[in-house]
Amino acid sequence: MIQAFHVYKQYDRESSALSDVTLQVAKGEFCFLTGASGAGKTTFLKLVFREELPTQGQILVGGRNVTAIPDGQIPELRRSIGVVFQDFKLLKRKTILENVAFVLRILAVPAREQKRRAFNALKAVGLHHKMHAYPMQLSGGEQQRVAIARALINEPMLLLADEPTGNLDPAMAQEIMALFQDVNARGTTVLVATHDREMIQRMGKRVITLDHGRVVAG
Amino acid sequence: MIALRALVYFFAEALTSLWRSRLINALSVGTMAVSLFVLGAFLTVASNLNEVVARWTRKVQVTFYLDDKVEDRIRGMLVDRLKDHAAVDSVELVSREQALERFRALFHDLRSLPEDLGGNPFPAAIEVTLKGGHQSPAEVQQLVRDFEHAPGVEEAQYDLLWIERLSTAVRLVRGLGAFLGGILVLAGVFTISNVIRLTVYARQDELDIMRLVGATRAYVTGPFVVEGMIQGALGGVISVAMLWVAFRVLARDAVAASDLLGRAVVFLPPAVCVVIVLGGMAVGVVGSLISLGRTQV
Repeated sequence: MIQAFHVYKQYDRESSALSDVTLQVAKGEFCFLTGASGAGKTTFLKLVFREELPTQGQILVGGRNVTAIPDGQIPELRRSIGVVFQDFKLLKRKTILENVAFVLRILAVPAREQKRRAFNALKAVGLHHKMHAYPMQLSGGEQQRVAIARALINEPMLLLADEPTGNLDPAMAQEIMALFQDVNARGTTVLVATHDREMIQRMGKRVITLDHGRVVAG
Repeated sequence: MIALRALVYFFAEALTSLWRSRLINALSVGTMAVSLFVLGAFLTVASNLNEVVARWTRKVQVTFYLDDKVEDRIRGMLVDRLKDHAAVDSVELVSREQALERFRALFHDLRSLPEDLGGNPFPAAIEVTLKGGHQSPAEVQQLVRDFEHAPGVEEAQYDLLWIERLSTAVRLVRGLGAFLGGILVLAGVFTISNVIRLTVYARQDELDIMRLVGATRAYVTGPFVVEGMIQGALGGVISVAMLWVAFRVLARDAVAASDLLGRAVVFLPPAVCVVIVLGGMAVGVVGSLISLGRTQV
């Protein structure tokens, strides 16, 4: 599903965010990307869904070279990838139901269908009873769950999650991981960036470790 | 269906945004309205004057005043020669008596003036109307040159000079209107583009998120374009309303002007009003596109 070949990313001349990263994540795989803060986890995810371009190297997602696709095709790529952002990236002026439904809205799904599916997605993360609340009225953990519901609503072929359990208590973190496993069981490839070693050990999945922008294990 | 849903979304978002920042949006709508009002006012004046010029031009006349002692034979020859002239449409002979009658009909209060002066002071005249296509100043002057020294002709008079002056005035009014209106419309574009840019800045995070979850550029920018279009349209509608009110208020003076111009002063035709509103919309769209082009969306 993801193939990275000799990927480099430099933001300035002195330091590299990623250096010669070559890795593969198979279709249908559940995989962790780990490493200390600043190891390059978030940068790698950004390259995968084309928020940024690598300085050098190629990345293929689902067989498509995302470093070479024209700007006009980026939205289509992003719609096929569910992303849980570290800072949630929720629309502050919309209710959480609208936030989750927004992905379907840009796909021109009928309004009733949008609501039904958004409600179900919120139900899956246990927040359907707060669907009319605005993001700022929720705790960090709750906002994270909204972000997860939004990432999953369109049943993406690939789910990228950047520290998805960082703001959650252990019980909720476990529930979210169970949710990811369900999605994975239905065929979605899952790549989770985290530095939560305990959770990684508990899950027993493949782990790719980054250190100073280089793949050191996995 | 998909396009319709997108349009509904664009309008809903645009209206929400317009209402949310209604004060600053009122500023762009106001600027637009004033700009289009000035343009429309000049257009109204120019179109009325233009109609008068066209009407006057259609009946360009040259009058040859005749010597009182001219013989009937000479006068007859003169009329025949004029009738044969390529530029001449019709020729009318006005006798001294007819001229006096006309004077009395036009100026009731001065009916007794000729008697006071001791007789009929008006000379006989030949009024020549020119054919369409032969009304250029050059042709009129040529006709005058050909006949002003003919036997029996005392003086030639023509109103082309006035028409020329009036045409120049109309061109001036129109040019001034286009210039001032143009500058103000540019100010409108500038204002709308800056107001939209402020909105874009204020919502930059939101727009980034939309892009990150897969919204196309058109989907992200659509509401802003519609917002500019609505601002322009509102400006256009308000300007037409202001023009109408100004026209009604000035209607009394317009009646006096009608007497002078020989026709009723009229408001802009509906088609032109529609064009003003559509123009406002176009200006709004251009303003939005400029601001969206300059900002990272």
